[in-house]
Formats: sequence, C-alpha cells, structure tokens
Amino acid sequence: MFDIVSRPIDIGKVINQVEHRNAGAIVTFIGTVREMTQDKKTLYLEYEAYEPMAREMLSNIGKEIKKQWPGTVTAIVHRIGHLDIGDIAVVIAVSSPHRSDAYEANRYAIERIKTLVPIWKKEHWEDGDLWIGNQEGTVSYTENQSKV
Amino acid sequence: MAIKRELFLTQKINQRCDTSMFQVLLFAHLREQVGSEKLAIREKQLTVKEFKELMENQYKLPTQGVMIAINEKYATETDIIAEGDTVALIPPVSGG
Repeated sequence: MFDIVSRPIDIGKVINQVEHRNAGAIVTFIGTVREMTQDKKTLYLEYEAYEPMAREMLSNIGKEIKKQWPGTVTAIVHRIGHLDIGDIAVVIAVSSPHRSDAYEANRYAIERIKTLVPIWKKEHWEDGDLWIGNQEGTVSYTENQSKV
Repeated sequence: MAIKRELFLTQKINQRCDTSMFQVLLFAHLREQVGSEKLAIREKQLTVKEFKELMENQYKLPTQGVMIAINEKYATETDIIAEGDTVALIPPVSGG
C-alpha cells in the first residue's frame, strides 16, 4: 500500500498491510503537524502533491527498501489537503524478521520522502503563509537525482 | 485560391515539424505565481536545460533548485522534451 489520500489516515489499516507470519517486528512512523517551530506558531498546514508521480515514487521507495533490507514489507500513506495541529500527515509501516532492519528501513523511507517525493506543504501562521522548501531558494536536487 | 490554400497547408505542415506541443504542470508557489496549474507550450524541441531557460526568460519563473519531471520521472538537463510530453516543475519538496 503506497498512497496519497485527502482524508484522515487509518493507522491500523497501514500496519495491517505489512503484517505477515515471518515478521518479527513492525516499526511505524507517524508524522504529525507540529504547532511551534522555534518561536513561530503554526495555525494549520496545507499539503499538495503531484499525485500520480508521488504514488509511483512511494512505491519505488518500497522497492528500494525490499532490495536493501530483504524480507521487509513496507506501506506508506501520505495525506494532503488542509491539516490541523496534531493531525497525521504520514504513516510509514515496515515489518521485518528482525527489529533492526525495520528501524533502519523506516528511517530511510522518511528521509527519502523528505528529499524526493513531489509533495509540498504550506505553513499558515498568524502573520502570513509560505510554501516550505522555498525559504532559501538554494536547495539543489542534483545529488538526490543520481539516486533515483 | 488553390495556390493560397496550398501555401497555407505547407506552412501548417512546416509549423508542425518545427514545433511541438507539450503540457507543463505547476505546483506550490510556482502554481500560485502563475495563477494556473497548467501551461500549454508550443516550442521547438527542447532539452530540459533549454526549457528551464524558457521558463526563466519568458515566464519569469525561478528555476534554481527546481527539478524537472518528464512524464512523471525526474529528468536530467540533457533529456529532450517531445511532442505530447507532460512536463512538471518540481520545486524543493517538503512532504513528511
């Protein structure tokens, strides 16, 4: 299960996707909307995605993980649209025969999402808003590209 | 009349050979800047590098740090954009 959804994510359903008889561990990452970033107070977030490409890339991350950590099963669901403080933006579940692989693979998945998958968030504060990822205008993707 | 029509057709054929039509998808701040999710572009066959220059010069869109996807796959500077392709401008992502 690799999906982009615009409704609340059912954590249980994502976990169910990776359960199997040879799993000895399931690691779940839940990304939630934080209120305070340093001294700035977020009111809500707005996510948008290039949906078909984002789905394909999530599924590719799953394939990369399977290759790097044989025996793992991965499921990733990302939510888009309007999200309030505390809402769940992303759920990543990885199962593996032994726990260390599931921990490592799960970490790998979120880092890949943050650098590569075409999803953007717009922060809304009391005094304005901004699409994140564009603050500096200097982020280069050339490095990531070679890993695709 | 007949000659004129022939000339018109020839021009049309030439135009079709020289230029290709492709669609450009915009997201996040780039979408807001243009005020639209899509652009239809008729241009000579372009490399990704040339396409980025076109976006900068004619559409005043900043492309520094912006990746280009052709038909939902990240492209390199030397890849060619052809007739019917869907090109997307992918500014630095911030999912998760």
